[in-house]
Amino acid sequence: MHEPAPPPPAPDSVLSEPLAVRVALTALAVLFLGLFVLLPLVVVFTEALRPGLAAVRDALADEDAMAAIRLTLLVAAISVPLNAVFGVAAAWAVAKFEFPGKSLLVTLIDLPFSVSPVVSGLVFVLLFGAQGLFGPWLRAHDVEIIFAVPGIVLATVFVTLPFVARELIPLMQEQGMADEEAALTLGAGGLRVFLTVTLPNIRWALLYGVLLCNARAMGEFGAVSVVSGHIRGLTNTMPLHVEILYNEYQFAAAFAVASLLALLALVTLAAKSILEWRYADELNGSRRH
Amino acid sequence: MPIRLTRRALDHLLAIAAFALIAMVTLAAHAQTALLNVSYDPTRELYKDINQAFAADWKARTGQAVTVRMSHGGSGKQARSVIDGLDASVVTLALAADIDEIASATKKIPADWQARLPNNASPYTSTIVFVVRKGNPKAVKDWNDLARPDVSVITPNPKTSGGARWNYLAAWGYALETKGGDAKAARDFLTAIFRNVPVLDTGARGSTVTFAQRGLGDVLVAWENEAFLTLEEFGADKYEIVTPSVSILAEPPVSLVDGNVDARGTRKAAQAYLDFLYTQAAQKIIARHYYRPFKPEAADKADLDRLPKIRLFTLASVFGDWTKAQSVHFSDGGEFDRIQQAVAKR
Amino acid sequence: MNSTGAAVTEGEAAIVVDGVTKLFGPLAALREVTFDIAPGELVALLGPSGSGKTTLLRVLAGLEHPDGGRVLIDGADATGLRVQDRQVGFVFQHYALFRHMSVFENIAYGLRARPRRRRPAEADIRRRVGELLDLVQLGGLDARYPGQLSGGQRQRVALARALAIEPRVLLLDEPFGALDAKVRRELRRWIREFHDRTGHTTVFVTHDQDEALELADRVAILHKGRLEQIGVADDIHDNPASPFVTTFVGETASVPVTVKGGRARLEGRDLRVDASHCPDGPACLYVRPPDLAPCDTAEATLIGAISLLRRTGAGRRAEIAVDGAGHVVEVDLPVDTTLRPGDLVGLKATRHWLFPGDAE
Repeated sequence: MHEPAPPPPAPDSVLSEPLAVRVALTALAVLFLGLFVLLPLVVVFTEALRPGLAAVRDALADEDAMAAIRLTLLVAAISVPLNAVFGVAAAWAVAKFEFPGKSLLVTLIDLPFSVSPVVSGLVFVLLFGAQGLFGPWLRAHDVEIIFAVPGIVLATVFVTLPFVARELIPLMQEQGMADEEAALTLGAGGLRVFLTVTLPNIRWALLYGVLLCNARAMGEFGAVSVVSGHIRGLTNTMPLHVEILYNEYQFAAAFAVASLLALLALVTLAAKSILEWRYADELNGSRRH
Repeated sequence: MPIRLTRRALDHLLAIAAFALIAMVTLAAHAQTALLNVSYDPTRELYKDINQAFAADWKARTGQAVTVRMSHGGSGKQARSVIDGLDASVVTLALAADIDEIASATKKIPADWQARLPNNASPYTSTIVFVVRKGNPKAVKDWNDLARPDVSVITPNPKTSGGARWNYLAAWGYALETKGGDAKAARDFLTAIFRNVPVLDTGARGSTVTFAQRGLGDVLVAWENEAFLTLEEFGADKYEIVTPSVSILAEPPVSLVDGNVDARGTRKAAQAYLDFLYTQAAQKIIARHYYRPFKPEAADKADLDRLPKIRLFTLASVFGDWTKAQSVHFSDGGEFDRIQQAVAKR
Repeated sequence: MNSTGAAVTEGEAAIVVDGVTKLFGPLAALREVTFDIAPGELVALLGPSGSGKTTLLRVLAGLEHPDGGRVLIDGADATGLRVQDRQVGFVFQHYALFRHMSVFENIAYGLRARPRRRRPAEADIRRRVGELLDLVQLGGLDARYPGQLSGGQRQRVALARALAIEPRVLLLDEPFGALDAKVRRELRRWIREFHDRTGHTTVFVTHDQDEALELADRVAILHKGRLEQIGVADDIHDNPASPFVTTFVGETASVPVTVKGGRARLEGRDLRVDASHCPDGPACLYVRPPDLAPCDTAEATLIGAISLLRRTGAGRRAEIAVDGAGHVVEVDLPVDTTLRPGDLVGLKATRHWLFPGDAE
């Protein structure tokens, strides 16, 4: 269970399947990936570049497009750290303590995965909308939530809430408390234990969760669409802006913004790969799996 | 090494936080909105031009800069957003019932709002026509043809789209006129049409994209202006407009959202914006975008000549008023729900 | 609870465990456990799983807080002291090495974690870690990561890391549990030597009686949260304090008997066993195979028929159904024994233990 020596590479003889089966399975996987992942990605970029780079630049330099990009980055910059902190706290609580209602908490963490994003958005409208539960109070105090940035952040936080926690809970449960206890017996205080023992132990899962969370935060459409109000230049995020451009017959611009969105996702993946490659030595020396 | 790595992670967090702060400040600096026009789907191109003209006009008259922000969507959905708190300065929707709804639900608009501006607060009118594929392969000529089982019809959902409600009422009026004024005959006629609808989009623009971009359906029932825009965007060599024998006079109204502009202190600019819609300059722009201006004399004759001559009946002459039309046809359990049930039953 | 429990008077004890009780919900993991440990002593906590031995070790470390009783370390009450302030070296069952840190950083962790004013200079840390690496005979491995070490090496890194904080006591949880048999034996000897060399007061937990009895100065046997007995190996073997201890250490057979007037009887026959310490009623006689020898039935403690006879390495082992009651007692016989299955034999017990009550 603890730090087994890296296993030797499996000898070829273990693969008893005939060559034809192996080739067929590999081909199937590649074909599937190509058809459902690679092809759409290629289409997005070719459609975007068809009218030329200048058109892409113009589409992105458009004032409303810039506002959408800024808003998307802002929303991600607020909601991702929030969910990272929440995810670590929740995973810590679930993995390391016994308390009544624990299984309920785990179920609740999963809720945003199972609820349609549109419903999530509507819930916030029902809570904070002018006719909603807190609507009159918010209006009386001149606080804008729905159809403004706070509402978009709320909806995004809600939808992306499970990503970090889901990555961390199984890992922290498997790791148990022994490392933290060891650090405590060595005289370390709570914060030091967290920073020097817990955090390094979970950092790859945390990073992965944060990257997934970020990708979803930037790409979220459904919930944000409900609470956005679609005010151009103010409450339109990139995905909403793509839809608007598409509906305005500005297909080239729509694909330009869409390809930027796709590019952000690719950069996210690349960042993860680079980090893993950069710290490969340490990973090999210390990773369990 | 491990501690250094942790510090690096902290640095990243700090960088993100700093970025968030900067982004927020930047956003705040950009957030000095003056007016918000919450409109229905097909008016995107129209208001883009109107807003520019108004901003220039306002600047010339007062020396102040004004930005008019836009929010577009299905008329019913947009009304719902304003009811839920979307901070609209003015609403420019597809039909009076949606503004009535805002007025009664929020009390932010007085009940007599339609009397505050000329022509029942409609700076322009429009009507409903058909768009078919070039050469009209299914030979669609009139409303009758939409009920033919071999014709696939694209129209948005009357529950969320104002345009779709006009489509529906136009077909209903036609049925009453040609099938002897019988509500049952009209209902059966509409049922036959809705059986031919493969997809109900939430807004008029969604339907246009479904028809023109995704290539679904034989005929698109659309706003006149949207029909012309389709030809403009996707090519007159691919689509053509078919004018039915009779259609409805659609009156998309506008109103100030008094509650919101008074809270923001933008009543003067917002009122000026609505008044501007009735000026010569705006009426000219309206005609250019294939709407039927309230003051045709202000428009270019060439623009007006593009619009076909259709016999138009008014909502009032057939359905009384919007409140009545709304409750009979589009409320829960109304005629449209019955039609949908009949369609689903088959 | 036993006279051997107090090896030292309270003033000189390194650790005093005084009436410690620990509850997990409705379950008592420890029930009023009391004993002392002398400075420099090596004590084993022995018991089956669930006996409370690991809980007791964690209470000593401050990782669990007792629901009753107190713990004294070096004469001072440590019950309310936080783990960080106890200065106990704890080696976890699976070592709990920080897998993202090198061996050097693992061992230096406790030194770096000290408050700034007590933290040694970097040069002192290097020197100290070097000494500890030499002490556990791992010099030169300071740059390795735990994943690159063998089980025994990890064990010793964990030990060095625990020693770095100059602990007042050293606590080891199943120190050999995660190792294979050969490494276990080597490390057992190494730990014993290491203890003799460094002289730390040490408590370790094990479920292996051989390990406990061979290695420890004294063994504390726990059962269902109670301390059954604490003593040196001879005590435990020769004077087991309870039926549980009797059966737990070494191979034991039990025969239910009846006591009346200070005599033990089986099937109405007097067993010639002194039962003066037992009240009238049911009792249980415990015997061990090495203490039994065949004899004339007239002098025998137990009488029975041989039900099974099989060859073992050095001799033959007989299973004997005692006194028709169906209780099987095993006995070792010479290879050339003339006894055959079905033969009736008498058995004389050179050592036996009688405890009142039903069999354990």
